[in-house]
Amino acid sequence: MKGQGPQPPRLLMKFFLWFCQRDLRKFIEGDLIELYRERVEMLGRFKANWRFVIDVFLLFRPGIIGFSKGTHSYNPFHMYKNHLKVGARNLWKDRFYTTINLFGLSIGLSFSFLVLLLVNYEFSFEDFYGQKDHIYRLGVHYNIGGQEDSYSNVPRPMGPTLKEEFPEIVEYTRVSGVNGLSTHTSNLKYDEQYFLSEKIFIADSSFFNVFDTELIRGERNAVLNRPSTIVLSQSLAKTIFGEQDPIGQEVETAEDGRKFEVTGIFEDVPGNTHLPYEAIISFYNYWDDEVNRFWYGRHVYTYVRLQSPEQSQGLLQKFPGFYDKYMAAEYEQVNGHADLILQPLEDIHLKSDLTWEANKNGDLTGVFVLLAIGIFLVVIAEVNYLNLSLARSSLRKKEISVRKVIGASKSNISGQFVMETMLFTALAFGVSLVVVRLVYAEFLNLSGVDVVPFASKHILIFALITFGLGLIVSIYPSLILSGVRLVEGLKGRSKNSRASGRLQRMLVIFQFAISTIVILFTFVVKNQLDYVTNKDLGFDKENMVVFELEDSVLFNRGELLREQIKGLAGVKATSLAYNRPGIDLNHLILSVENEGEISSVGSQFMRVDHDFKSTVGLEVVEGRTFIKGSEADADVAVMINEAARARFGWHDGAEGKRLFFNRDENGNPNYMTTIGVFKDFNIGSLHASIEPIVLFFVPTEGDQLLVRLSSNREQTVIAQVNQMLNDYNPRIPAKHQLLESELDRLYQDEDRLSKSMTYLSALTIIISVLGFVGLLSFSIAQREKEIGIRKVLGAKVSSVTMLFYKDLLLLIVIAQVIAVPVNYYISQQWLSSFQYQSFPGLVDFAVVLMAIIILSLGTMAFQIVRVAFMNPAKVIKDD
Amino acid sequence: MKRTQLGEFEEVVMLAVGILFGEAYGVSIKKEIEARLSRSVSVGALQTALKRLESKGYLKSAEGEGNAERAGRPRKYFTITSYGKKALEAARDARNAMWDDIPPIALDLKIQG
Repeated sequence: MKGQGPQPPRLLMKFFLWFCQRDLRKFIEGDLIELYRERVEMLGRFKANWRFVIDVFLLFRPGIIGFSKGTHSYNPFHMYKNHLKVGARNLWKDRFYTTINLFGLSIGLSFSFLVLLLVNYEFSFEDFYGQKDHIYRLGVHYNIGGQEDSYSNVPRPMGPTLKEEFPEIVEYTRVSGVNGLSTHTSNLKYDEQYFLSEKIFIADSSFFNVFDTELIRGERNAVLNRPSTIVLSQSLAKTIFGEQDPIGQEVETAEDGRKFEVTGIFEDVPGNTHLPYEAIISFYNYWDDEVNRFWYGRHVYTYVRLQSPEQSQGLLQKFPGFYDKYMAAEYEQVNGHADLILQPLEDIHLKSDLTWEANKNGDLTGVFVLLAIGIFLVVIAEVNYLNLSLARSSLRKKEISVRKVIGASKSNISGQFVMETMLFTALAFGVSLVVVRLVYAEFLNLSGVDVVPFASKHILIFALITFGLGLIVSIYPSLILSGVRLVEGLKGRSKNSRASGRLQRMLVIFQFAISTIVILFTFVVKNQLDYVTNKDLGFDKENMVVFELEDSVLFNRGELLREQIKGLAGVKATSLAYNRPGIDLNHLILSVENEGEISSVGSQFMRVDHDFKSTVGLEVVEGRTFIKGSEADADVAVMINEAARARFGWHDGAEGKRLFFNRDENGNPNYMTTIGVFKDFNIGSLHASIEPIVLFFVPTEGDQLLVRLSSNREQTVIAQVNQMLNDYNPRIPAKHQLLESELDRLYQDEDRLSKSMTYLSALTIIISVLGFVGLLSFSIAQREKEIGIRKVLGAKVSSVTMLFYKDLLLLIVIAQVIAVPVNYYISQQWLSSFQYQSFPGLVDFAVVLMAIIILSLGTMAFQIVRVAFMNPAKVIKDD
Repeated sequence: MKRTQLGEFEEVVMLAVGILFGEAYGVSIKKEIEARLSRSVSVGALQTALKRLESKGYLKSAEGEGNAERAGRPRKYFTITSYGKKALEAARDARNAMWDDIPPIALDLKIQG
């Protein structure tokens, strides 16, 4: 149609055609072309273009614009009303399927909503700090004599010196727990009352310049710049002082009787931070200045604020120069090396698991697993819906054909089905909100989180996602249905199209693969958890209670208490020590003598008494253990573990071999002699491997009182011991722990994951099976006549049953074949965080897989059996 | 019945349609007005006016043939309806009546100057 001759700018013309009313379009387009050509001849192309632009621009006015206004207007309200009505009737007519669908979808929606809320919470850590991406925590990676370890804290001079050296560091602050680096629990005494807080830290005066917590009372820069001052959180201040004005009051730490003046009040810190604090004590003069100059040992957490987040990389690159200048000399003496670690504040909660973390951090893998399951739940439920509506679409063909005869367009019919889905989604959404409300408290309990923010914002996002998914799911069936051929539909030939049948099968496989993966993974997690909690640690963790003698009154009577408790009925052994299983150990650099040569080796160390071996139940594989009261043992003897023997290179036996870690005033090494070797034992979580340990003998001292009980007297003895301890009127009551539960708590992340996975995996399989049941009962209904004829021709019950089961079995088996390797991969990823791993055996796996098959087929049995046993006359007589 | 009110531009457009009798379509009307009144008329303004006049019933239109000049797009020819003619007449009469009522002295601007 295009005539020859110049054409006006195409894009602009398209724009015009787009906004112009339909009935005017072609005429005005003609006018514009005609004018344009005239102008090209008279004025030239450039001016013609220019005039054309003006013309189009002036055409863009109310009288001309009319986007999709058709030639006539109509009121679609009644049509929508009809769609809704028919939709509602259909949902009601197929109550069985609607219920299955609704149940699956709303359960899926509500739990995935809860899980996503939790995931959202886990990712929201440190969000409340302004410019949180500027804040980094310093860590240090040591390699000392081959002993490598990454610390979440650094030597004390590091912060100030780094700030002097590098202008990118705007501010630094050093932080330490009040009772030792990672111990931040203390009792504050005021007015003869004790107030326990688990969030008390000691920090530099710059603390509030690094962390921008709002100060309600006091000046940001001034609150901590004197010795012996303390800043409290609003709620802690309220608990201690009530209505009194806290400023200028004095509180005392119960442990050491130090007094602190309250100089400020800060806003409460939310729970979603790796470092929650309720009270900050001034770092100023808290320790001897000498300690603050150590380049090795006496670490503190150090946080820095950078000018801009990108500078962290540069800082790491410059660190070797810094190391050479300040640290190298000291570290070379011990054959060691240190590297800087810079952790972005926001990464700490989920990604950091270094030695001596202030609090137990979150578990990124666990969060991702939950996230995946949250998504799976919705997907499986939506797939159910999709599948059932595909299957049932054939039943609607007559209705659609009639609508088409009356004049419904394709888009009209698609619209109707989209609307039906929306109606259904709205229903499911409503139900799921109710479910969320009902299980919310229980869910929080299970997930071990105190508060998950649950705001209208989240509900809104949830609604958007739900309806968005509903829309997506409705597209395919609506396209299939609107494409129904009129005559076929009217005649009632309702064969499912092959394409949608294939899709249904694929969807079923997909569903079952996902639920199988989730179930298998749950199984792996449980298995591993079982393994780590039951693994032989090298000692007996049951029937062991530990009393912590924090208070000086109790501490000073440690030896006496040990002997007194030993005399109680039901106590097998007691031991007094500074270290024990369940608490992180410190490191020490040793000079080890081997074949006349001295080398520096890093090692963990413990300080224990003579009964430690028998109380804990360790095995001595070489030599002897410490002898009670032996001064020689206390001064010059050590015991080691097998890992240490291997690391020290004492392959021909350790007994009599020497090592030292300090020198006397004349500079001569204080040699200590190895008297025995313990069989390796695990001191902490099985995430870590066994490291070299050196044990020193402290005959009469220790803050950990270990008591080995006979199994049936546990509670009585604990009560008796507590009574005995309380008789001394300690200011801080002694806490006691059952060693077993304390060790099990090391796996609380895994435990939580395993518990929530158990529930969620049950949900996924239930929802999948539900969808399957719906699908099956529908296909049975369609094939009733076929079955009737088969039976008339002599088919047995078993062969009819097999007819259906053969199909189902195939789908499930395919799903399992897909699921097994995927699960294997995921499990390996997850297990890699453990030094000691256990993967379920093949037989166990096979049992689980079989169980899934039996469960799924079993659930469907009642439907199939009903068909198989039915009287053929009933169905055939219809025709 | 609606008042037969014509705007100035609308009146000009209708007059042009009348002059062009049978040959009145977008471009020709535009040129007619531009030639006679030596003012430029934008396509947009003209089309809006035509559309409005048509919806008021003063003009009626018929689709004409397309030709190469217009790359095959059809022309829309306008003619004045009898109702439109009435409106035009009414406008003219009203204006004439006003002209007639101006006292001659009022137009004799020289005296005032």
